[in-house]
Amino acid sequence: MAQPGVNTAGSGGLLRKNKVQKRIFIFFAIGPSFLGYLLFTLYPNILSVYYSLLEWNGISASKFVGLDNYFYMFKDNFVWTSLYHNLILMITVPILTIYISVFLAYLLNNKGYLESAFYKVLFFLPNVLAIVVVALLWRFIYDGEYGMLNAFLKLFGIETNNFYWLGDTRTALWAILPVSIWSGVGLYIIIFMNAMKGIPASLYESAILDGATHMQRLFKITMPLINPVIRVSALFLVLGAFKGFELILIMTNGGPSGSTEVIGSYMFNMAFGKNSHNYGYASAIGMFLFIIMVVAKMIIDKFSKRDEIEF
Amino acid sequence: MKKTAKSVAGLMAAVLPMAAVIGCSGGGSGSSSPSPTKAASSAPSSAPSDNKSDVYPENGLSKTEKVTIKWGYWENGYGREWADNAIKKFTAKYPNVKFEVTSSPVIRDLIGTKMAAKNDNDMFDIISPSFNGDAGTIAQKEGLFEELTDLWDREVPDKKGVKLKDVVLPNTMEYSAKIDGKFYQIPMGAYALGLFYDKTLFEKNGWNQNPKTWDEFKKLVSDIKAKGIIPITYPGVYPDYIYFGFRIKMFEMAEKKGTLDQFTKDYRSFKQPFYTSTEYKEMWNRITELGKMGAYPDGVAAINHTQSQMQLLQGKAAMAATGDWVENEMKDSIPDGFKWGFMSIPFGDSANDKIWIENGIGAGSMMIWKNKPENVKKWAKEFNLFLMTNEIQAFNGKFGISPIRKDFADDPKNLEQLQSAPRAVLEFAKNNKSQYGTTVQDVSFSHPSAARATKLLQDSIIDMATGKKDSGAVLEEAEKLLKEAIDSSKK
Repeated sequence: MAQPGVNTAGSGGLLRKNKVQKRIFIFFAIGPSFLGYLLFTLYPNILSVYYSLLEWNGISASKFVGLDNYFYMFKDNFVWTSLYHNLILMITVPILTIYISVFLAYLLNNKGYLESAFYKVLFFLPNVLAIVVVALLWRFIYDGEYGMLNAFLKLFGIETNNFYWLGDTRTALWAILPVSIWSGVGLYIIIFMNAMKGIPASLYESAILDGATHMQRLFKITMPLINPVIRVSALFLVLGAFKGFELILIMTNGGPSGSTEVIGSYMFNMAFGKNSHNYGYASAIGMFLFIIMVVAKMIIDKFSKRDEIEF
Repeated sequence: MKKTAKSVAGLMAAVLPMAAVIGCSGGGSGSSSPSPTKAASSAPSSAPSDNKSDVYPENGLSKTEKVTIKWGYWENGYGREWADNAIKKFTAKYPNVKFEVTSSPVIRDLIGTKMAAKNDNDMFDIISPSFNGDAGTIAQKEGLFEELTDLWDREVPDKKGVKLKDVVLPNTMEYSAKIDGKFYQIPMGAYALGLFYDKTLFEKNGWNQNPKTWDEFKKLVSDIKAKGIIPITYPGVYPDYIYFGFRIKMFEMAEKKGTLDQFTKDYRSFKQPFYTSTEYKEMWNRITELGKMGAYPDGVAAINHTQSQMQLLQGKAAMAATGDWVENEMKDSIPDGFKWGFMSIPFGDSANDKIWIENGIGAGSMMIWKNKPENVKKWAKEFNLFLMTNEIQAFNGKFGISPIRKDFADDPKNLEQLQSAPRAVLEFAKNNKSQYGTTVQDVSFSHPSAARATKLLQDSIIDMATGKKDSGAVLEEAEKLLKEAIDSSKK
């Protein structure tokens, strides 16, 4: 029954008008970025699926080869060697980055250093440097003749005989690790510090009353409570370890003797190498990489704790 | 200065006749002289105006029609000044033409992407210097570039009545890259590869600056090593630079065996056995032999292009495997007293054996995109021809680009402008029974096995060079991969 003085037809129209306005707003808010996503992400990716079925150098007419590129890939020992290097980076870089970041974030948050803000900037600095600068900086550090690392070791009486850390198959890949970690830690310190700020101080106060040490507080309170953030960070780092190759391309170009080749750099060189223009094969490798990353994400989701903690 | 010019004139005079007898190495896909086309025999005729005062008499192109040429320029070791100078001079002569230059050390990546996009409007009108690597070959084979064969029969702008083909060094047309006998790029300069060194350092140590045989060269390496200096440096991050010192030696060996023509033909077309050919294997045996003597730097795998050349400039390495652009590339770091010297490694066992020098006549070669407006292509061709004037050639010489005009040395002023690294090459050529040769190939493969073969070798170069890896086994494996690529291309 209509209320006296209320124009039902008018309120319905208003509601409809609001709905339309809402839709228009949503359309304009999401539309451009969605269009960008379709155009610049989804479309090229779908196109890559098609390219992966071709033998194509990007210039001549393409030849449809079905799944040949995929079959070929499984026989290609360079693919497996590269993936093995990725695996090493995937295991080491995320774990070390997260542990170092959590530890430093905890110190900066809880130790009350006067210079905390300065340290924050200092640790974050590598993140504002271009990857090329980071790579060149570390190339100098690892240089055999003028490198800081050799000079530093010499201070402690360790003679390295001008050892080129990036020039030896035994050390080159391991020499990439500190660079990846150093350039990533700053960002995660900021993320973890902010996550830690959300933990109520009362939890720490009661733990202190119970006699908990800093390490106990870190491992029993802080880490479990920021676990969702750690999980997302781990995901980013693992995916980054698979996708990223710019650092390697600049520092070692995959050498020496392919000892630092990762799947990304191999794929890149297959498509854009000086004498290699196998777009089809490179796309197949890209698709394989995509599957690996999806699987990695699922594994992380499955094995990381998902406890939702309210405080 | 005059004395220098005179001596270089002497060098050129000595080298040019020698160049005339060169020829047995080239050819590839058709070494015969191109026959003049209809367009070649006459100047471009499609002038938009009938009024003769509106056209340039030398080419028949309109004076009033505004033309903009988009140039995708590869900024390499020779720098960019020469290109800017050429544009300045050309546009001063033809004010209706202007250029839009996009320059980058990695212009190839941009060009490759534009090619794949197949958007003619977005593509540069001209591409240079040499969009090299096999992408250039593929694109030429696909007919994406304008054929420039007719330019050889055009009159050079600074010498009335003389055709381009008659004014260049005699071996130029033979060495220039061509596909099925057709030219898609006309060279405007040359480069040489080999071992560059500091004469002052050699003189100070009394080292042999001109070993004539393999044994003499090995002794030189031992002498240098004995002084605690690296005999030969190369950038291990891009290890195929080592070939700059050795690759042409395969032709030297083939010539000595009397199989040069066959070898040249097979090499250009990747005919198997390729990696396991006698010459390829022997080249590697020699590289390894020197490696076992400690000829290459420790930790070479971590040394990049600049670092390796810095080793040379700082006297830490006696010789560097590189090209004659090295002087221009490193001009800000060359110490006082450094004097450029050049040698090509002798593989022979007699002082009378010929020593081959790897030479590429193609520095700066320009290609014109085919699907472009006719007037743009015509002006681009005019520009290409203009680069062959001695004035431009002399200016380019200041930046390390070797001239290829045979009358270049006629004017001593031209010679004064040449950099000393290319001069050192000329000096070596003069003092030895030498021969220039090129290692260009005119076949490329799109099957991944070919790329894997290249990668296998690339990854193995450093270990093979020092003998840590058996080069024979690697070459066998690379040969198998190449076979897969060849078989696939036949399907």
